[in-house]
Amino acid sequence: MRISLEGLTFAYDSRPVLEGLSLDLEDGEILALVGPNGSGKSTLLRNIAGILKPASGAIYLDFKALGEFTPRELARLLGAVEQERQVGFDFTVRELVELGRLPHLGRLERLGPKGREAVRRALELTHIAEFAERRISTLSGGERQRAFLAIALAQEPKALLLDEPTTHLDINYQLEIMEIIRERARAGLTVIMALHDLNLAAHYADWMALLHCGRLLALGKPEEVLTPERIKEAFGVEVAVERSHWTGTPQIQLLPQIRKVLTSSGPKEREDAEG
Amino acid sequence: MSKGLIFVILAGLALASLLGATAVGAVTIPLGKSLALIFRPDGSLQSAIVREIRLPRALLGFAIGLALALAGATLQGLFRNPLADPYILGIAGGATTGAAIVISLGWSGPLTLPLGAFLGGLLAASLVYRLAKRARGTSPFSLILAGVALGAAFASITSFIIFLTAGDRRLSEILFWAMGSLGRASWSYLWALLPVAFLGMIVLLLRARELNALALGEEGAQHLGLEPERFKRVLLAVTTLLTSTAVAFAGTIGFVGLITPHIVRLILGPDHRFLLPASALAGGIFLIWADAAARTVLRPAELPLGIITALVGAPFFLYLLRTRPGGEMR
Repeated sequence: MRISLEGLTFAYDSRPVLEGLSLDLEDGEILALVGPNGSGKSTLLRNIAGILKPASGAIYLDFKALGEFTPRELARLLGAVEQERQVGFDFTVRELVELGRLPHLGRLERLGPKGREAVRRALELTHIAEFAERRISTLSGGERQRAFLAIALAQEPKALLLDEPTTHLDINYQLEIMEIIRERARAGLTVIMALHDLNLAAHYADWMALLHCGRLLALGKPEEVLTPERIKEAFGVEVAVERSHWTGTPQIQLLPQIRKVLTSSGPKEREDAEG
Repeated sequence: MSKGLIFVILAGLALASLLGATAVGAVTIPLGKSLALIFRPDGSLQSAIVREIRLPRALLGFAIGLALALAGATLQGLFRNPLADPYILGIAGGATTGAAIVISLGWSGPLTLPLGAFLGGLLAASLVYRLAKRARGTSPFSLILAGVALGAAFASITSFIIFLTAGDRRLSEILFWAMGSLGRASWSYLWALLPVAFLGMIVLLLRARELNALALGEEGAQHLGLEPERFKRVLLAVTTLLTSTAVAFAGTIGFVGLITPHIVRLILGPDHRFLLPASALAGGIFLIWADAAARTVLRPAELPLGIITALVGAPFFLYLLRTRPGGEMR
């Protein structure tokens, strides 16, 4: 699905959080949103998901304005997982993934063969079919995150919106989640995800948007966005950027000791914006 | 054990309890005789006891247990908080105050009483909802604390009304609320209560899947195309209606709404499509037998029903507080 933003501006109680964002994504493209805490990544995702309403500007899904969709219609197009989701009761994985069919079902309508097939596929694509009957409290963090991804995939959406899908996960799970996401993108899903880990983002993203205080500091290919100057501007630290020997993608090197030497005028402190 | 079998057992138990409870009370009537009298009245005193007192009383107990357990199960799902229940959140306290005001004004009647209770309950529910919204994302205890504080405030207003009414013949009528009893059961009460309980149950059952989705949190539910703000208000209004009607007809009967959904969840899991109807049946069964105990423990005197349910419920609540500190799972 094509996702377009035109001059998107959002404010919490008249305090601007996003200002004049524009971008265009085609079918099957992965966009990574990066930037410091409070730079507006989650807010942007919530705007695209239709949960928050922009103050001005517009969002288009396949050239149709977001406001023209009902919440149910949106849920059939967009599968989304917010940050640090907590499940209130100890459901089984299957029960949770079946919830992904809600936007397709009438109030009294049963799951049906089409729904069961979508659930089966979602469980398979996320490699959790074997513990479909287990309760969510018995899963590890990585397994739980895949279950949440499976809920979104059971919606049979045309795009995925993911907020920090790999945070707090061990590296094996981080890779597994990212591989699943890339596979779905290759199958045609447009993906927008907020990521903390710049190097992981560089490996998997087609496009990268560096946000800082609600503004788009840079938008482009990872190698265009991840430059020492831009990182310094956004995060206020000195880094070195190298090309990965193995994948050719830009990789950030933190430079803890050298930082003091390089910034002869003294380290410039930068406070994260709130929210 | 399959879920279907559990429902058959629960339904059978409910029917057996309704009929069986007619044999229990101050006057001993053998079970066989009481059953025979339900279907073939013979005009005797025993026949009147069974048909005009005990059977409506068992039905009232069942309907009130059903209403409170349903309200409890729904509130727990709504607030994603296993410690929620109509009493702990102060909704029943608001309803009691509303009923007490109606009585003290001398307006007491089969329609005005539930209406007064409903208005009081609605006020409490909207207050606790607002307080809980502000507390979102913090400890589940803030909801409980808000509810307990509200409950205490309403209890003091109720006490004040009782104080003002002291010496009046209406006093005994108000005091009845403070302790909870099915002693006023009659068929006319039932015709007012049963439709409310039935309709409330239908509305809640139709929303069971959405309650499941709410377990993912407000935002998670929104990603599934739901509008939790709207839907939560509807459910809160229905639970308040169930609670207020129960309070209006039987007074303070705590902990049924808290314990029943917990025990059912342990057996059936958290899926509200099964949890809600099973809690409703189990709550009804529990209250029939709690009332039977209230009528027989100090025979021929009758204990207030609220004493029995609190005696069972309070230790259970403390146990939950200790074993589920985060309140996140189950």
